[in-house]
Amino acid sequence: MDVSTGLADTESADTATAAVELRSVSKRYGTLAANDDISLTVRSGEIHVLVGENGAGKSTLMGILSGTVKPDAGQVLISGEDVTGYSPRAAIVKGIGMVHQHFRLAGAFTVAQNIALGFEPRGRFGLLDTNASRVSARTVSDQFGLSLDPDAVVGDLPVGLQQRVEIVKTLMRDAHVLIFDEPTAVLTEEESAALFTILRKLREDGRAIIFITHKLREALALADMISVLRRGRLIATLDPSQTSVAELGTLMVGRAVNTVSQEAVGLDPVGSVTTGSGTTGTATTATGTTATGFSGPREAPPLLAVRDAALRPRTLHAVPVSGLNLTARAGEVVSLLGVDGNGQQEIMSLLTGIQRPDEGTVSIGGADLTGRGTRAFLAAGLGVVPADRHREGLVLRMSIARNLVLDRRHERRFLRFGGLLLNERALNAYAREMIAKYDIRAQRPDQPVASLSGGNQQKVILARELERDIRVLVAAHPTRGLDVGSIEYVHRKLLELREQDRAVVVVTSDLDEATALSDVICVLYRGAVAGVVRPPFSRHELGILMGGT
Amino acid sequence: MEASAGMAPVTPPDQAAGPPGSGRGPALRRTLAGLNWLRTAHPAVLFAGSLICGLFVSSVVIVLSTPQVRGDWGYLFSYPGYTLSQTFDLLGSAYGALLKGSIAAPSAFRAAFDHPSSATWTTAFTPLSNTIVAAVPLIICGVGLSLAFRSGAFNVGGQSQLIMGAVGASWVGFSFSGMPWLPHVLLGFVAAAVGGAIAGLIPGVLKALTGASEVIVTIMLNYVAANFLTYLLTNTFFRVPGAGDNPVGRLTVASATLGPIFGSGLEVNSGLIVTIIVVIFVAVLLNRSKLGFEFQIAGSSRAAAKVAGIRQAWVYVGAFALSGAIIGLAGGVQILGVSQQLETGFGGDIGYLAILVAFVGANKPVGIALAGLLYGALEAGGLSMQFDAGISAEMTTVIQSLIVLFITAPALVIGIFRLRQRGGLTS
Repeated sequence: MDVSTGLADTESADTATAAVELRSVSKRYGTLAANDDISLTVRSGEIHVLVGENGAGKSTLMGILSGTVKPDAGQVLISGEDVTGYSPRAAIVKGIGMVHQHFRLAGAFTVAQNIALGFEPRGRFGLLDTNASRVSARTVSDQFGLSLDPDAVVGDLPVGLQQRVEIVKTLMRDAHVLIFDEPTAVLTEEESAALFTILRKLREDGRAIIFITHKLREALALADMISVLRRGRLIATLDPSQTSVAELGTLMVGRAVNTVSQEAVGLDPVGSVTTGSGTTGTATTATGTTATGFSGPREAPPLLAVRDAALRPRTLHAVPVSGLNLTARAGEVVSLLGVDGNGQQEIMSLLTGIQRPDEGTVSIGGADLTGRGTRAFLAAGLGVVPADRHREGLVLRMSIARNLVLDRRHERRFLRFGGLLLNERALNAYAREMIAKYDIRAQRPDQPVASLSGGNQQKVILARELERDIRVLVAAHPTRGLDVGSIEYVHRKLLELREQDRAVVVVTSDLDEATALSDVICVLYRGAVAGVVRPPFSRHELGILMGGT
Repeated sequence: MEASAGMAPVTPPDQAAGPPGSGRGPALRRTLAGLNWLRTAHPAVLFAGSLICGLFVSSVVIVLSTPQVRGDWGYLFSYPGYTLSQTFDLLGSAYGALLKGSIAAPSAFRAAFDHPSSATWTTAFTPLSNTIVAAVPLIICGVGLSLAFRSGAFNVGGQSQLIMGAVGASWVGFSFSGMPWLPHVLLGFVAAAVGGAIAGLIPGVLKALTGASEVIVTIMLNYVAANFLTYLLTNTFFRVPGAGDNPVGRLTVASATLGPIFGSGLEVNSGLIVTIIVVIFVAVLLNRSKLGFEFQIAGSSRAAAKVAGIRQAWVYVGAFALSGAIIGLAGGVQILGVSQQLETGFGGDIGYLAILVAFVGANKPVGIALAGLLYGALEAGGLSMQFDAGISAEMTTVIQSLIVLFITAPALVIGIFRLRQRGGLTS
């Protein structure tokens, strides 16, 4: 409704009240358009909520505002002044304050010291005036009802209070525009409610607030204006009183009509694969007509089964997993769909045997492997495409040939001398074969895998896992960061695997990917399956489940 | 063509004046293109650059620490020729003595050619022999350390593993007096490896089981081992009977002694053969073996190792045990080939110097062998520098440290020599 394109006659009226104005801002990374022609106006005394999936371009947009990212095109105006391409330091001077998702605080220092950090008040002889910073910290804290003790050590404070320290920090620098990057992701319900009270006070004070989230209910409750980002584009700017969670969800994950055309271009082979086989052909037609028509794979043996698994958090930011049940049968693609940070990482570590569940069992091919370690999981026929290909999937400085056998190093064909030495000749010959078969764009088998593009790196991982004799493939974010051609290739490979009566589990945050590939979608929310959805998939329903209830 | 065009900004102006390729034969151009890597941040180039920088700064230190020449710099503007000649005389005599003591003295070679006899040839080769004797423990130790480093285990306990290896070798060496030579020596090396492995297993197992920092544990174990040695030499059967208050160990028997391999006048012993075997063994282990592959996956990316089903704990235990065993061999070579007996303060600072050697050698066995020879040469040449040029032998420590300093700061060397980054792996 309010997708302002910066028309000449409305411009003067806009800038009079606009605290921040973005005009046709674009930013590309290689072929990826992180921000594509975005125009956005935020007025003083307004809470403007930005919603969008991961990778929708929110972070890039905020980077442009806070000076850490330089836009390729477009203008950034603050209080009517053109500041396009300014530095982070200049952004602070112009009154932009950013409250990061992961706090930039020194845990061993007190609240007052943290707040003073970077512009410490000086007393006589250039010494630090500790009392001044304590007094000003208390003044600002009281003004907005933040109730912070200036002498408390930050590391001892709960997360909600640490966030308030961040807020006071930005306020002390006289920030007129406050940006909150997913502030509620780390907060409890009560802490969130307290934060909203603070935000409303800041609004009354006449500050402009940009609030990033993907919790839709939260957005509706808080916002004066809601903007929806999707794949780098600003899809809509809405008045919260005239929209609903359902509409926002659909906008956020994309309209079906938009994506069908994309799939038609990108996923042509999918159609040929499904029609090529008789058994799943019937299954597909059945799902189209009746809701219970998912008969074929249902009777197939479960190849991966998780029963009542629970995993307590091992690290500070880990998400607890509880009551997790999953079954992946032969010839079936199961997607675990969810916004990032809802337990994907933890569930991956359960599925791959890296972590032993505190409760429940994990079995592969009918054999209970709970607590047997990754080696046993791999031996039982598990293939893994890890979420982070640079850290988990590959050893970047090793050669393609070596990376192709990272988890296949026990196979006799790659060894010689009684299994002690690697058979270099066999490794290189095999690598050449895989480079040809999987169309990996590389010059030599011995070139470091770091020198390949992301898509080709993913092909190395796929080649490694698919060439093994696997029964189940668990693939986390298999297409993240890849170009369209590589995405299509990866999807085709996953569906081929399904045709070969393997089970495929795809962990993803991409709704299009889930709907394009899956026979079943399990929506993850806060470390548990919030709902199991079977075709025909409703984007609307999935969007709501993803946003939490 | 492309190569010479790319070089244009860094070639001297007289060469870069004409358009690329004009007036140059294709052969010359190819040669220049072949030498192109000399302008890049190739490890060998970085090493050479670090050596040059290290020697330059050392020269400044030498001048500053010699009062007379330092005083001469006061005349720089009135008598620049005098100042410079004094400086170059000083540096020439210092580095000349260093080379004479570590590689060869030209006069000794002339004498050997004029009057060939085993005595003159021995004199000519003595400096090189001393270099090798000093390099051998550094190379074995450095190679052992690199095995741990490349497996992601920061083993700083070379000294403790060296001492424990020496204790094992010495024990076997002064016992079993009736054995024939080869089995006795081999048994001595087995004992050395076991001693080193035990010292290595302590931090390895602690790291694997409890996550204790291997750096702290190994540093502390270095003190423990040194004091354990003193205990052995004062309170147990290791002590020489009737040696009074002087804590030295018993002498190894003749059947457990590594003899000279290039004639009795030169100190080079069959420890050199052990060194060559160790370098080849570790090179094969790291580059060709399955175990080495697994170690290095774990060393490069812990997360990737996890996903590939490699147990980090076993890597720590295995890498530390192997690394310790190899370093223990260095202790064995020192006992059976050089000192024949234990003493307090055994090993000097070999265990620490070897860390530098491993770094300078880029954690690659062949690189470490070369770096070990360089550091051995500096050790061997230090004394002759003190006697011939009157410059403290400690100066070699300064040179050794400065080289490492520049090696660990590649950006500095790249900046000084205006090298180009190599493509590919530079993130």
